[in-house]
Amino acid sequence: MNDTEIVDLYWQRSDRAIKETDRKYGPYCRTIAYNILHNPEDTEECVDDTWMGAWGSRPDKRPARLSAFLGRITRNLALNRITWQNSQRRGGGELPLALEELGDCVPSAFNLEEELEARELEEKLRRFISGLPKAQRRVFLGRYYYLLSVEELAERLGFSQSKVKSMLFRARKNLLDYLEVGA
Amino acid sequence: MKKEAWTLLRAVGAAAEADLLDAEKSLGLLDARPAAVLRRRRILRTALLAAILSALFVGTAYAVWRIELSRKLTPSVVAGQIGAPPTETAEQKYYLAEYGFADSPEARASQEMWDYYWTYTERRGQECLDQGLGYYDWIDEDDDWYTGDPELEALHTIYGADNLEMAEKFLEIRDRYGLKLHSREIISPSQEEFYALSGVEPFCFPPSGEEAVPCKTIYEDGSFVLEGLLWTGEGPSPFVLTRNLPGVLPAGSLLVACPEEYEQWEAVNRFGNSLSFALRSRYPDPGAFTDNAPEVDHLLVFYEQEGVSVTLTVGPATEAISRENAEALADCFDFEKACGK
Repeated sequence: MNDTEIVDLYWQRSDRAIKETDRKYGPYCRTIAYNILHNPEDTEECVDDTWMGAWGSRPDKRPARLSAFLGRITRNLALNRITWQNSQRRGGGELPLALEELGDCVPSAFNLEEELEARELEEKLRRFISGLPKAQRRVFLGRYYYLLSVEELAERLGFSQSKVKSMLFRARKNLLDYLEVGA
Repeated sequence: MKKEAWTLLRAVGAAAEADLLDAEKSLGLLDARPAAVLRRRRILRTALLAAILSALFVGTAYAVWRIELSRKLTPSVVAGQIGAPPTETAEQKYYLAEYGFADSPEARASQEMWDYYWTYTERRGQECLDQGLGYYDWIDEDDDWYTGDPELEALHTIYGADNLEMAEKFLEIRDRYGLKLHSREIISPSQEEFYALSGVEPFCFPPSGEEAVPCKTIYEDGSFVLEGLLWTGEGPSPFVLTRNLPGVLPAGSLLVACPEEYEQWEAVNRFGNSLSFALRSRYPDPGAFTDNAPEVDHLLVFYEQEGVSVTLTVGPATEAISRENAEALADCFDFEKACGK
């Protein structure tokens, strides 16, 4: 079933909408949720909440691809389940490591939340990510959006792990420079 | 851990949709196939929709066809399943000329460019593997080799050149054949923008009356690629429709194998367009990485008018495509209008 038909089901308030969404995008959203939550039960709840969220919002722009729409809901819901204070205690997933790495990108003596409105920071990040060279952008999103491990990124993209690490290092350095200019 | 890192991680969630779609595709997050082969399939992704035809060089009298498939094919260096280890029984594949016939400068240049790409990639990839590195570690992922040079940037973003050496080879091929490059691509323009840029009138008329072309790429010279889904009998099948203009190096590449298995005929659609059809029925899905590959069908429809080529490919489709289905699919498009006439 294609995305247009699935969106139609939401608009028709058909209970098949969730079934078809789960069939097509369940594995994808579970990957996103699990990489953040690292817990099977929490992951299932989060994905169920995603379907409820999609049901509630009825995707109204008829996107060409539902994946980005659903993935974003899943990611936000999963992150809502944890806070930065307890994030380091959550399981053994990639989240604590990714946060530690992103800590290198914060300009010293600079409080992001005080200096930038959330929307402004999001806009800056969106522009930064779009401006990265293609390969670096894929690695950056794989690591900090999808929370994939360096090993998995290397396998999926056909790079060595050392190359992935080096690309992430350069991307983080670029992000630090980019935010410092803004600061 | 700084609280700001958490704030940054959340803000990464605002990444642009196009970037996320590109990332999930290249990372294979929606694909059940083995991840290691996904990137190798990237460049010929469009080709794989049309992938793997077969021979065609049978001695039958197909000279009656207005556009003969055999005249559009050139042997490629690619053999076997892309991304899989080579085997002795790997079948020969052919490039399908997206513009004109196989002897046109556009098709010859395209063949040379892609043969170079695959040979170069295999050599450099193997060198990296021999050194214990990743297959694609040779790729220059920084943007400083093309930034600031529109021509090199176009070669990177539109033609997939992975480093300066590759880009320079592409330029040399372009010059030798006296062609131009696409200089700008616009991905997913609005419907109105698409028709304004291409200079054509609306030409897609799916039976449902709904938008049938969710994904479009148009180039500054008016060439374009449409991708979407069409219903073939019982279910939807992917299609790609390309319009190519003379004098321009095509950006894509369509690979085909096993030509003698294609049934060919000519028919006129409901818009009065004389079309050449080539249909291969019920063969193992070339894109499947399992022993029990599902059977698929593959359809090609050719139309040319006053130097403009339009090619419709449907499949590989798991839903069977009959001759009647094929002609009904061709009824969804006014090919003459797609040519811009």
